[in-house]
Amino acid sequence: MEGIYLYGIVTFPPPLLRQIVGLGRRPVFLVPQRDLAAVVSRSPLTLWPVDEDHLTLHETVLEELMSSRPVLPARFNTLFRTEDAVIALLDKRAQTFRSALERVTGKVELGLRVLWEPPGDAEESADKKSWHGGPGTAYLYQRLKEERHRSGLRATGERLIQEVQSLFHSLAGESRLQRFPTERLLLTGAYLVERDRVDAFREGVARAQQEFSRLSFLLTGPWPPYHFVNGAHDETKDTLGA
Amino acid sequence: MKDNGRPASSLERQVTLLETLDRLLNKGVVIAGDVTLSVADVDLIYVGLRLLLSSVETARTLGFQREGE
Repeated sequence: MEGIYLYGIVTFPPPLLRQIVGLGRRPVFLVPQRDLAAVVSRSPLTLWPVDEDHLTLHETVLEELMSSRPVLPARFNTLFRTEDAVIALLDKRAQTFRSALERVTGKVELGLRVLWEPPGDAEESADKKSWHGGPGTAYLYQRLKEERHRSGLRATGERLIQEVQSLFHSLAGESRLQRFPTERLLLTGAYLVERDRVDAFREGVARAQQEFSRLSFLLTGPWPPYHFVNGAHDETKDTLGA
Repeated sequence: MKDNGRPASSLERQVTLLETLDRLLNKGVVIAGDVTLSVADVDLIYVGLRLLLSSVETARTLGFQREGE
């Protein structure tokens, strides 16, 4: 049995201007409902494998669309049994989709990763001789030291994040930040940027790289606005521990 | 990511792929379960994800390590 694979949601009209090939080489088409349309293709009702070719194809379909109109990207492997189910969705969430589309009109997402070398524990060797207790004491002492080290790192990292953020603040409308997602990663940011400010943002990153020579900046995009389609609830996550 | 074909270096290509992964699997419009077959069949997707990350080291370096891995 065949179903419907969803790539994203767009405003309607206009209809599709040219042919786009979707997953399984099936043609992409629009399922319109009032002023919205779902971007879909026919698909078997089984999950597509998560590999480079399939992910790239989903992404390519969205990029074709976003060059000419605002688009809300759907998550990979979103499948519907029938076209009616797609129409029902457009009806049910019409208001949400409309305001999300409005929010991203004329804008693209840029991705930024900032890598750092967290300062090492310099006191380590000097501290070795300062405990005299048994293994239990040593353990607790070690834990305390790690805790101090972590909060020190955190404070240093936060200062750097503030400084970096202040550079990009004026270049992007909205941002989604993840602080300390991994040990080596200081910051992951997604920025919603006006199309005509993308170059300015790129230059901003280049300046930041010069100013903070000990950090590495990795800029990607333009992307469809993946981080800006689900309202404010997908907020920042923090893995260093509060 | 717009690149008009394959990215130049394999590292660049890997970065692009990992960024795409992160977005397509974790972000984007989430549709409630009542109309879909299985939007986020998480286990299945993550099995695929592990297979895909042939170079785990690169992924770590660039900060793509996931919680619980």
